[in-house]
Amino acid sequence: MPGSPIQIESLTLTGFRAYLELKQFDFSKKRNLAVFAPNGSGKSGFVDGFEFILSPDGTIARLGVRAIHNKAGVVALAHNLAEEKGVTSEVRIVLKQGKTTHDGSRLTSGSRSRPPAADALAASLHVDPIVRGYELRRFVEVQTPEERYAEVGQWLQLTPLVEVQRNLRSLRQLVKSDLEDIAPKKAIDARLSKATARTITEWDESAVLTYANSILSPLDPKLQLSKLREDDPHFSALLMRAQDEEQQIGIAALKQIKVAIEVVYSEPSGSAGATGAIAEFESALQKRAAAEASEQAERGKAANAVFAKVWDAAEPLFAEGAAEFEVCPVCDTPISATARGTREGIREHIRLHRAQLASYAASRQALEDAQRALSGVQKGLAAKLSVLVPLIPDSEAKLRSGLTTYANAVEQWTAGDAPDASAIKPLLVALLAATVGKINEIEQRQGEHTYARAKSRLESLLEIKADDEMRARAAEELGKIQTSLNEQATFISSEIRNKIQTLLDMIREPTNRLFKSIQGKDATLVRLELPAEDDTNQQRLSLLVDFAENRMGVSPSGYLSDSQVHSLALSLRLAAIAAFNAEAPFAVLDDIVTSYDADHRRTIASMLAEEVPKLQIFVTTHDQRFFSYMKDQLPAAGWAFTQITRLDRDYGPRFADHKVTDEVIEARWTDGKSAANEMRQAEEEWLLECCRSFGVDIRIRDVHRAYSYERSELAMALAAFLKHTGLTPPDVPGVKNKFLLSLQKGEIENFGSHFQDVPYGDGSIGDEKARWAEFVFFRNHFVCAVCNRSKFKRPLGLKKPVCAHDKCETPFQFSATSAAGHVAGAATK
Amino acid sequence: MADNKDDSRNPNSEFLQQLDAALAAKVGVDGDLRKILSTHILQTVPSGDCVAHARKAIADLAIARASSKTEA
Repeated sequence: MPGSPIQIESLTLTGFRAYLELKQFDFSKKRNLAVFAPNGSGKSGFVDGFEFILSPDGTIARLGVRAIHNKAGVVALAHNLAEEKGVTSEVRIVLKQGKTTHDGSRLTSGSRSRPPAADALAASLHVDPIVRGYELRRFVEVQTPEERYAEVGQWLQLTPLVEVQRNLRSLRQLVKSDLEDIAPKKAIDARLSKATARTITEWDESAVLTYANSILSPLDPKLQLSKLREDDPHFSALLMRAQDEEQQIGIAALKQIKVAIEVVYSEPSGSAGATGAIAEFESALQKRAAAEASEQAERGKAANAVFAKVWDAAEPLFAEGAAEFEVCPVCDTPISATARGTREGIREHIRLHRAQLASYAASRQALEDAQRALSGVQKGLAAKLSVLVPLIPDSEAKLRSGLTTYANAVEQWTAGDAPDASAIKPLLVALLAATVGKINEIEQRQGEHTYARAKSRLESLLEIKADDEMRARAAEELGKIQTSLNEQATFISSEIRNKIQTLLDMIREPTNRLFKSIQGKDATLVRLELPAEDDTNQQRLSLLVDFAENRMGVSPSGYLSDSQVHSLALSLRLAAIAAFNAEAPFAVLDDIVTSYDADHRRTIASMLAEEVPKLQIFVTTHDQRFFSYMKDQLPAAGWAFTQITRLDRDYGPRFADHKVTDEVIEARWTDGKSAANEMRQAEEEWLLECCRSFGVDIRIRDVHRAYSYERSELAMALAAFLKHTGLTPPDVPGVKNKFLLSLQKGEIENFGSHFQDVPYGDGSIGDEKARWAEFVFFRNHFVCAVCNRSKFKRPLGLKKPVCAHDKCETPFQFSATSAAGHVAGAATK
Repeated sequence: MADNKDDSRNPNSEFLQQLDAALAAKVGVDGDLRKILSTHILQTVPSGDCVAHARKAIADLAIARASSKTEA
């Protein structure tokens, strides 16, 4: 809603908080409203209505979040009887911008979505327009300078810039901590410690060099590095030796040869015979030859194998215990005519031939097994020879040649004479012995050290060194970047601070004007300052009041009175609302005078009238005196005043006119409550109205108390006026003192009526009623003798007041008869 | 308050752009660092982990510079 400022036309509460039945607050005729109510009578519901319809999430802060066994939360937004009575709980707002009217309502149940009209209103607000007395001083006293800075940033619509500052600050702290972080160095040291078997736990170039040379010493005492660098000549020598070692000159290669010979052939001392693949091959050959001989010996028996099935079939027929028969069931020959002649003879014949066949089968199987084993050993030997042959050093050419020939013969052999290994066996035995001798010699000299291992370990140390140097260089570069970061961050932050300070200055003057308006012209100026830029306080807003020359710049919360702190906070908020909520210039002030004495309550009412006329203001208060001051000082054209007389549980707050009427007082008594305060208020209102309409002379007060008068002042002025004009008020029957005399004595503050000298009885309702009737009797003498109207005026030049009615204008005079007609039910009209 | 402002209309964006330009115009400013700040920090709607991103970019920059010195 761009363009003209938004004005609130009305706020309507239905089933909301204490308001069960619909209550509309209409601001279309009088844009400002003051509500007086005792605590607990529904006054805050009015303020809650504003908060609810503006809140982003459809709740009000003081209800908090609903929890188990807790009736708070959004459930408490609705009146507790709303559902039972079928009342829809909602808040409706009507806004006016220029000539356009917008309205919308928000339900307290369901999605509780905010109407577009309220969206637009909320979007126009940068400073919270709802000012609650109990939290007013939070900005001055409770908030830290950092929180204050952020809040002012929000007021100034500069939150993104404040975020930039905050992020820059975090970044600077993180980069600083990165620079101070010792974890990377510790990781390097841990690797070094592991690489040096915990000999060196922290990088020390000299110590690491000594350790590196200790690795080389067992290999060659002359091989010593002068520096831990790859371009050291001795490191190059190490690389070459390691390469040679890889080319089978070193102990590793010798051990490899040793193992390769041993698996092919060796004659261990103390052993029963030779071992290795050749020995196994020759043994397998012998076993196969034996198996062949055995099989040949058994082969003659194989001729009978053709009868094997006959014997298999006949064996059960001739077994012991089988059925007797005379003719062979297999060949149909009479038993007696067979070669054996008897069943027993045939049974023995079958057993003998079956045993011969089993022996032959076993020898056949043994031959097959031996052949299979030989074949496996042959393959294994060929494979092992193929490994060994390349390892045979050039110096053993004869052996290598013999092994090559033998290997080929083994590989190709299938039958006949086995390859002959007799020539290579002694050579292998000799080479194995020589190799073992060399290994022993080297191990005696350098232990387990090898050039390859030394190379690997030194390369590991060089890698750690390179990483440590890289870490140091990166840290150095980071340090330079940190310096640049600080410079750039300082520049950015100071530019933002300048912008914020410029805008802060916009509210400095109005804040001080409001503060002086409340606290008096001698009030010390307040300064809103952003401290000088440094690492720790980039985002602070200090509120300073130089209350003494030797206490410059001291924070105000330590020495200001409650009233001063409250005034400072109120001034700041109102100045900020006026400056930054220009699109929707309104403020809701909820019980803001709790910390003030009577004079300051008057000055705040004065301040509202004089200093913030551009704001639409809604005030709630439980302070009757403050309410009276507002009624006295705020212009009637723009302000409506109302008060809650009681809270009806089945209806909601009951409102009365801004003046205490006779009905209000009667209502109190009906509820069984004292109406002493209301009576006093009604009396004051009548007195003030009377003084105004009569045009009494009153002494002009000093500027700080310019707008309100004590009752005694008014009473004295009215009494002086009546005396001067020869008007004598009538005696009041039943009391000893005259009303005005009592007022002049100032004895009306602390008891229910003012018609007697001594404090008023026990303040019972009966007494109150009696005294109220006396006051009404007295008041009813102030009526026009002709038209019975109760409004008067005294134009300049006239000595006595006249009836305010244009067609009457009868000079005022007391008339017992006129009063008598107005005793019953006469209220201020 | 002002909870549903359209950020694209935020004059702060223009202010931050001017700040960036002013920084760039300064003599002796570390340009790589300025770009990092411009990318991650000088934003009206920065990402939630913008500081972490900027921190990593700065660390990477330090390593890159250290590496280039090694190679040189």
